[in-house]
Amino acid sequence: MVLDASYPPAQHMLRDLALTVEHHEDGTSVGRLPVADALLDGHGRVRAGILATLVDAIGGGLAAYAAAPGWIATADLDLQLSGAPTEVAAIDAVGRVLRAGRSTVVLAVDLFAGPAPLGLATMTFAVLPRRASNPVMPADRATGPQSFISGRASGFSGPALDAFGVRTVDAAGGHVELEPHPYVENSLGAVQGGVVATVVERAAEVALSHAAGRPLQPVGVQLTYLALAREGPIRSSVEVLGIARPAIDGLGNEPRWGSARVTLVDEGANRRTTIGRVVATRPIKRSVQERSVQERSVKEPHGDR
Amino acid sequence: MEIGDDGRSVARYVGVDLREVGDWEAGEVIGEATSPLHEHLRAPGGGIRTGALLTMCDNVGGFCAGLAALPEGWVVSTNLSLTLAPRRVRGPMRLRSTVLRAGKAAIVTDVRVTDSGADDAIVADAVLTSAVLIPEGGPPHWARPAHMQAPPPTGALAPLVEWLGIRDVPGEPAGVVELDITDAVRNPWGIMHGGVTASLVDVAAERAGAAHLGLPVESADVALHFLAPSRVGPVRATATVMGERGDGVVVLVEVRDTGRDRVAARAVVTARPAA
Repeated sequence: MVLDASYPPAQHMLRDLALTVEHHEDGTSVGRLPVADALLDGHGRVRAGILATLVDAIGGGLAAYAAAPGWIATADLDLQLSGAPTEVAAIDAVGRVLRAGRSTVVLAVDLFAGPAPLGLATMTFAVLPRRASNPVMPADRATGPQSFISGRASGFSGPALDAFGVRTVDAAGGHVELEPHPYVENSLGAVQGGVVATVVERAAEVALSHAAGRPLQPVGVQLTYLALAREGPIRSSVEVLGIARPAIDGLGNEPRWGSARVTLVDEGANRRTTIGRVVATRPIKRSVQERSVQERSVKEPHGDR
Repeated sequence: MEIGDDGRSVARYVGVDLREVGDWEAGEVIGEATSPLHEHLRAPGGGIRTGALLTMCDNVGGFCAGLAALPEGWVVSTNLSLTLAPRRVRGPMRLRSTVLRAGKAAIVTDVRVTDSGADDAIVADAVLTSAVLIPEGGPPHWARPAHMQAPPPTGALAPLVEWLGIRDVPGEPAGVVELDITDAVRNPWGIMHGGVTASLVDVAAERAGAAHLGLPVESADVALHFLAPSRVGPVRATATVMGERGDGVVVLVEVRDTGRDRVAARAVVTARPAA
């Protein structure tokens, strides 16, 4: 299903992610993200921001159908990850609309790493009056293996963060920078929502890890989109809300988790574009991951979703 | 002790005293509130119950959003997200709300909660999105700068779970709780107060998380989406643990108005072992 021949362009992060999204007649949408080394953080897990991109891609299609003939803008995205390992061939996602009103569409996206539930996402889209430049959704939902983001394999030659152009300026302050360019833009010419999530996640990761004195891994992201990020550079600042350490004597003083508030500003437009809250934990130990998979495999067999 | 049934009982129960401090004549809306952290709002572990904190954020953020919707409109909460800082609250608390974005259909406010008893250390950071509506009979009238005062309780109030009448559901697993919609839990529009929904979510997530981990937990980060108003009741919350991670468990909570057989809210909560 090609919504608009000009988007995404031939060189675009959505194509390199090799995402596929199918919209089904029953109102659900199913997505698949092939796992590639380019998408992993330093601990071998797919980045939360990349997973948010998968969520955003599914959510955008679902919301566009639900809002038709109007158009949509992402208002907020919440993604909470479990400790399931992401050492699988692909991350699967299933999305469905929870509520479609005149002014907003709310939807849920469940993520799976093989048989294991990997995360829960909830998104809100604002319903906007249609503009002539907005894509037209086909009257009939496509079924089967069709996608508006076609791709056969991951197209990255290095880390996705580098391909996006996410650059860390100052870890202590969580200052991360991105210059908008067509590779990371959406159909409105602004930085794509998943890329925004990736910038927020990266900013929190470096700031929280610096504050903790050891690596912390983002596992929860709450985003509020306030304005489009189109001019650039897009810069982040981070306020560390706190670092949790064991309260019981004898367990040492190793940080366990931390939380942060991230603000993105479009310096060219002199406006705040996004507020994010991120929770990061110690990289998950293998035993916890395996336990999580085993539990889920028993309680929720693959195919029951 | 009864604290009234005029639709503001919940606001009085959590006890925030809110003053508008921004340059309202220039269109700026900023609210600052204080709360003494009454005993009835405390969690079993000694801090504040997350449900009470969510209720305060809903009150303060919602009131500021309402002021931003004037003179034609007022607001109803559509989603509330909150991230807790890892520290125990001593109180009293200070809440400050600003308008992040004011559109025709929706207003986004943030609420920053700090602890006056601990050098104003950050306690929580919340964002509330509200839908703008035009109430029948017009929006409420507030003299500006606005002051929403909660009279201090004249006696001891029951803890939050008891006061709201939250109960386990016989025959259901841990994490399934419900309450009746009494006048005390309604808001001025006659539907169940958003803070009560949040408190129900809090209790359900805690019960499910504690049963899963086998130790006491506290609801921490919450993303709550209101999907439909609860009008009839009983209102039931069903919490399901979806997975473990380094800071606790991830819990999905569905809230249903059983009297209307409608899903009223969905929340994703991180429940962490109580310190």
